[in-house]
Amino acid sequence: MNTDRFHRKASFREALSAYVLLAPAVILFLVIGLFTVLFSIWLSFYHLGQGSLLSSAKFAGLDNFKDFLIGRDQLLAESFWRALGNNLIICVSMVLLVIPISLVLSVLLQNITRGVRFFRTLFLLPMVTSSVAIYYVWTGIYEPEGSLNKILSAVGLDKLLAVNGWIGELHTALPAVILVIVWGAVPFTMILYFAGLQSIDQHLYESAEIDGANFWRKLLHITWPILKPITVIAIIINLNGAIQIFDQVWVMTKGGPAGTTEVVSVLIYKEAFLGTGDLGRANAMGWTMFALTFALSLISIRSLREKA
Amino acid sequence: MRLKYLNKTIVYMLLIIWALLSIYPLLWMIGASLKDQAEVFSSYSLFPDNVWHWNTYVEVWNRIEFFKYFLNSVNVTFWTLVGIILLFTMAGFAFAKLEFKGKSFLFYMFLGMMFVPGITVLIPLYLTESSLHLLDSHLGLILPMVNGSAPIAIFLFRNYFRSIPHEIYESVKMEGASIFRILFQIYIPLAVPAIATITIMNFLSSWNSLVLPMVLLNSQKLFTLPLAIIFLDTGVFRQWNVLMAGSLIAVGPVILAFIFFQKYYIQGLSSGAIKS
Repeated sequence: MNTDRFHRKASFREALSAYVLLAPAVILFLVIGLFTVLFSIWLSFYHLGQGSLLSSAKFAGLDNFKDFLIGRDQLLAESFWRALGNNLIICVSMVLLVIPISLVLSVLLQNITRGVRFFRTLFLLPMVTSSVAIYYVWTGIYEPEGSLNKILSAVGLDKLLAVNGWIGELHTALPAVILVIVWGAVPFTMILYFAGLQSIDQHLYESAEIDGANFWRKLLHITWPILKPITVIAIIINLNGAIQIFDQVWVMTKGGPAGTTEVVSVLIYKEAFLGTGDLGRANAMGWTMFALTFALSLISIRSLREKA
Repeated sequence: MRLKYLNKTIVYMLLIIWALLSIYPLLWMIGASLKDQAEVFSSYSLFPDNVWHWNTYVEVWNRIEFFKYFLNSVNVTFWTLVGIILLFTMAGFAFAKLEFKGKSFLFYMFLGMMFVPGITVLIPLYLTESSLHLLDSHLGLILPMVNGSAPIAIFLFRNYFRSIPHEIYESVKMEGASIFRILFQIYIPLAVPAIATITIMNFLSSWNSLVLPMVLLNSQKLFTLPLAIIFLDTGVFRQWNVLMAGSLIAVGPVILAFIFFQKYYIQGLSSGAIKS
């Protein structure tokens, strides 16, 4: 009896301390997290001009969504679908470029004995410097007089020169921006693979060799089981990053030229904070993007489960 | 995976190519900041041919009082990190070690936030802060930054606290120590590696953050470094040397921090992602 009461009292005190410990995080979450999310959903169904009072919001029903999804507002719908298309191209590039480049680099790095630390430090620099500052550098590299054109003409590839600069021409702007995104995303993924490869016990390979396993069998049965979950995580993280891309595009092109590098975040920002856009409509675009991120995450998590 | 037949020369060549690609923009930044305005694009060389124009830095400093923006960035980043570590070690500890009603509900509530992209709630955040009079203040920038890192920080701290042997908790509790004492005197000191990981991860994102300050700050005197760099870019034409000097001032501390804490950085990133 006595110990039972002691335990009940203890567990009450325990729960109380837990609530005290959680209180600051929960309060912050309720105000800055949950409230803004609910507010945001509400706002998607209203019209609210920039700088106007919240009380002047007018109910819009599904109009905000119709505007850009099915072309009630033709121009905006065109921009939106083009921006979304660009986001998807960036997503595909992340998977097709970042993953293989990172994997190859980490395997190469594992195969050298001298200078591992040196190379690793250099390889990680893009991750730590990836910011407004470096995106301006890339803008400079892509200038008509910039290094990229200089190098191309120095090796005699004058045909490839981008006369208006690499982010100034319609057909080269998006690839140029993607190159910067990939450049910044490789280091993180490479570190994941490198750590994964380091964790494999070399004796496994040796004993497999004694059993007569060839290169492909070792790859399939020893290396891949370790690398597969890492690949899934890397894909999830890179896809999420690709959907939320903002800084690179904002600094280098602001979505131009002629919308060729526009991404959804930049479009939302412009609609909400520049010119005479509608906050409700910008918000509705935000939720469409959320739906996309969520769907992509679910798909990736499902494929993660499958391996277990 | 060791590959027997990979030719060492090819391996090193490929590694050197990527290393050059990694470091080139940084060298370009340093070089351009030391060149004369006209020399930035005219010269083939990465660094100034004759005179090294150190006075570009003086110019940046004088022109827009760069140090003020530097201190703003330090201020915002520092308090963001303090907030993250204090709030989420407490929350992570509660989730890892204590029993209470609504535990899993609250936990998944925090984790669920991970799926909401920042840009989606940017507009209501702006409106909410405007009605709470938080707009155009550093506090108004720090709070959403702290909140934004809740899912990952809580998750990592919870896992870390769980991995510490439970006997420690039991024995200290038997001696009658309060839960707060256990957390602050035993668990937090033990969690230094996890704290280092969280700090490094969030240091970068808050130092480099662009869109939040762009939306939430109006007064030029409150600008953080990324905004100050963009501010340097306003004008009829781009003064590349000045822009690059400002950029280097923004990137420099990050690179120094990275070089000093590289080990923790790599450990943190890889253990966070691989073991979870």
